[in-house]
Amino acid sequence: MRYDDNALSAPERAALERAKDLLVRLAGERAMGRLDPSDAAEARFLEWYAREARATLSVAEQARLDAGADRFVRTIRSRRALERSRVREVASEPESAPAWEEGTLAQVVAAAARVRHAPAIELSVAAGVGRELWDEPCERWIPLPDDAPDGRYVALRVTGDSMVPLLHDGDTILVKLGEEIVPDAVVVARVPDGGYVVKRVGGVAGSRVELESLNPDYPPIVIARDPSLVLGTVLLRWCTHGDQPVH
Amino acid sequence: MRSERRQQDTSAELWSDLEVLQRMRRDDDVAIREFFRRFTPVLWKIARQAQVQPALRDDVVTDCLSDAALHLMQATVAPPANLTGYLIATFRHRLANDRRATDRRSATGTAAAWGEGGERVVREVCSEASIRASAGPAADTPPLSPVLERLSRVIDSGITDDERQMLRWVSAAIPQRLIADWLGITHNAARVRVLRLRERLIEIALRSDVARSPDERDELYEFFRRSGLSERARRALAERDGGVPPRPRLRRGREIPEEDQ
Repeated sequence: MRYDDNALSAPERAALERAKDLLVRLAGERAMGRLDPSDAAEARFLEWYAREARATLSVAEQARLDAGADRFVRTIRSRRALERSRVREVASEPESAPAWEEGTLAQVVAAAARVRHAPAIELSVAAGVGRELWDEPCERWIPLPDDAPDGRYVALRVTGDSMVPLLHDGDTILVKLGEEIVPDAVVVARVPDGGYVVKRVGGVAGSRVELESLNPDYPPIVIARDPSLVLGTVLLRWCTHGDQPVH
Repeated sequence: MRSERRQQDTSAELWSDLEVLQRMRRDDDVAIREFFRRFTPVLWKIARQAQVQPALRDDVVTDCLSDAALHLMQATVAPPANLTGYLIATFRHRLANDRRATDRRSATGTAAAWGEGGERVVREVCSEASIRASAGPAADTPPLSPVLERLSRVIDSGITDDERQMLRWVSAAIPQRLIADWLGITHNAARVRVLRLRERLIEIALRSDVARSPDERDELYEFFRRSGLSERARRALAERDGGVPPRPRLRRGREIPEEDQ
């Protein structure tokens, strides 16, 4: 049998055309399943295939792709940040002792530092509006881990899931006060009208500091680059959530 | 700002895969977004072929792409020569692993899994989405009936690797002009090869003896009839089965018009 134009009658050609759909689809599906994606001979085909898949999206799929892209960028950024942020984890609740001196944080922070302790405050960061951290009473002090450099510290409790997977609801964090802000550091900052938040420093530009959440569901916050707005840098977290799935 | 970003995104479409990767390593958001847009649609397609539930496809694909992106963004990792192929392979591998993990988990038994920390291991290895994806049944592409499944296997084992490659191209509806280009032959030669491939599929299909009951024989005949092959199929089936023509088929009281005489 020959396959030039004259050899095939019109009905024969039409039959071949129609057969294409069902039979080619049936056999083609299995052939696609047997494709070896690492085969160099298929590189051109795969590139074409990917481009074609992108070009033939439906309107709804295109919308999902657009929405997904921004979220994807946030996910990648936060996971890269997580790799770089050096917040040490201690997988237990912190030890704590009754305060040696009673008083508000402002009154005891220096005394606690002298004996290498961090006053613990039950007020949660990222919790609600307007309470002044320095006026909070501290009833318990947490001893500093041996490897923590000398300095003034405060221990706070985390609320919310904005820093998942680094920090979970209920974790305790050790904050070194008065540190210089550097990109990628995890800091506790005071947001005008928003109380205290724990966030990652995304970027420092001119007079603004961008604070990012690690959870891509939360948008970044911008605050003024003002030392009085940043309480300090998170060095360590006490976390007992290791046994549970993060979600 | 929006239109500025759209402009950035459009020019990013022109970057080569390697260029996208190199920019991603410098934490370029435009490149990360382009990576997602470039490879998500094809993985959606693969997920559909692998019968992942539609509701979970997006999550499974995004999980895989973000893991791959983070891996490839490390400066010490050599960029793959064929990025699309690499991602498809990674994705398939992951689907298969998730399936195996789920199978293993259900085989081990829930109590044992909890006792040995097995549950935790499974949870750490696969995302929630992929666990659900591999557990659930496929939704939109119904699996082939046994006789068509057999037919597709017979066809697959009857063709050569070159024919299989051509078959993938044809079933992906690649323009013949491109096929000619890739094979370094003329347009007309490419057209002839495609025709020859189709004829070969038809030959193998009509010669195959996959029906195991009269019902399956009817179903097979119906498949051929819908493929526009009723006359040839009738002849082939009747010849093989000693002259018994396939029964005419009625569906829901309405007669299906014959496509060719």
